[in-house]
Amino acid sequence: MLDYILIQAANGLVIGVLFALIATGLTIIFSILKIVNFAHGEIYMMGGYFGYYVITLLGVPPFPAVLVAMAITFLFSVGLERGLLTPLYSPRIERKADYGILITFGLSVFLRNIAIILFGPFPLRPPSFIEGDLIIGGLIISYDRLVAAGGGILLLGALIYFLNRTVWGQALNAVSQSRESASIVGINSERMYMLAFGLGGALAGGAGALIAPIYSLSPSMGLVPDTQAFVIVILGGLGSVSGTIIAALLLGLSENLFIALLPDPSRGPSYANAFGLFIMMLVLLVRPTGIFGRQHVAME
Amino acid sequence: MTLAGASCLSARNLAAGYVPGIEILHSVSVDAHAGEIRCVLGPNGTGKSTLLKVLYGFLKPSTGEIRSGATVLTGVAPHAMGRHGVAYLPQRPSVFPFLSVEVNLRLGAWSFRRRSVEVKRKIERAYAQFPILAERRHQTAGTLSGGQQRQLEFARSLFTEPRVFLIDEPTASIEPRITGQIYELIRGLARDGKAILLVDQNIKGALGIADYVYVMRTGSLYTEGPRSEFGDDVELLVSQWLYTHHHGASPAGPASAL
Repeated sequence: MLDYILIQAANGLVIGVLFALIATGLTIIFSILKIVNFAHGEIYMMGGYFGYYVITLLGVPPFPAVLVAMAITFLFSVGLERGLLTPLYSPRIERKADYGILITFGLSVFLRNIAIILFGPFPLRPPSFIEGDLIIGGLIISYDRLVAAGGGILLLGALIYFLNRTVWGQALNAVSQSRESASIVGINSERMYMLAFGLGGALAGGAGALIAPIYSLSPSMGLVPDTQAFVIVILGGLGSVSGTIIAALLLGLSENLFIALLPDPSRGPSYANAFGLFIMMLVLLVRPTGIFGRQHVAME
Repeated sequence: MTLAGASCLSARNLAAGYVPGIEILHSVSVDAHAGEIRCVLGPNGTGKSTLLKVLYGFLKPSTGEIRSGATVLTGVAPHAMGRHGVAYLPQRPSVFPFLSVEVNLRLGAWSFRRRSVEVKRKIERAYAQFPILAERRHQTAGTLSGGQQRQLEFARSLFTEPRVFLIDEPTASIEPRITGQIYELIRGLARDGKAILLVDQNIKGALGIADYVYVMRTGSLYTEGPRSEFGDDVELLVSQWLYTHHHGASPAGPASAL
């Protein structure tokens, strides 16, 4: 039993890291564009498929394929932003938040269905990063999970460095605080919207490519991570990247321990998502701004 | 008026509003001249701040033209105004409250961010000019007092070496004992040859440093003229601007612009 809890804790941390990739993307998009991207799970799904085809069709080895998939997802997201979201920046559109919800919700349904046509309804599994399992005493964990967690940690580290230490990251942060002030120092907000949506998409796409050998790919794979990401973003405090990462690890860990501790473990996984939502409700009741939240204004 | 060609920014017959069909400005013409402080005064809600927003490109004028020398600035986006030598200091300090003083300054150098030597030199110069900023460089800008935030904003705006400053209510959110310093700062800019267009509710303070005065009422210019021709009885001037209801008359100043 103790071994099982240990394994579940390790799995929870791995999943937590991948949740963190997805959710930081969502929170970056939210804090810059001030919209909730309901198609984020589908962009994650697309990233997984991009990775799969980069490996199977182009013959790129699995490790660099993750980076290629992220680059493609970045461009794909920028294309979506240019094509669908530019009306958000026009002073002529009222109720921008509503527009954002409708357009991204529609996009999520569209992408899910187009994926069935393009990629087929059956699960696809790319080759493993590294075959086999790591066994330390009672702890058994596959190398693919370790690679996914390690890759995720590297990407999160790079993200934190980019946001805090580079002038482009600081400019993104500036736009999230005030679009008007940003333009006063000469920052073109529209370029930052492109960057934020592309970056958010690339992070989700990277998560999709990292997770593919573990869970396989399917057109509907984005649904659950999407709700998880919303839970995490709210727990972490909208717009806080470090809060999001901590909340993701906590949620991954607590969901998996919840599964382990449920009297009937075979039912555990079906309730995991509900458990996450339950935690979100509790947090919203006690601390509506999330654990690390700061005030955010709507897009002017 | 001053020499022709000294005008750094000139706006002719601007009309603008936030909602189609509702004009807030009706045919307003203003100029900013190098080395001069020009004030726009008038009661609340007459469109003074809107005028600056239009000049800086946040709001497109429905008619009229904004020029800087031979360059037409009408329709130029706000983020490009720095390149045309125009700086804007809005009523609420435009610092980034969650970023450190140092990063705020670094972002002020956004337009020349690749020239790292110049960025460094300008930040050092800002610290020399405003020692309090050097002292608090690692604090977030939101923790600075109103006056310190203004200093940060002025320091930052100087980075692009603008020729024109559009300043909106510089002392609105500031403890009174700092007010004098802020006006002295603005006067210093004018001495360095900058053109200042200052919108202010603090009529006494503004008239204390102004070279030229525009008075606005309900979206249009009511009167304008050199500061010296307005006399020194501020109370009298204000009461005339506020309570004289017939347009076109020449209440206190010499020139009726309408």
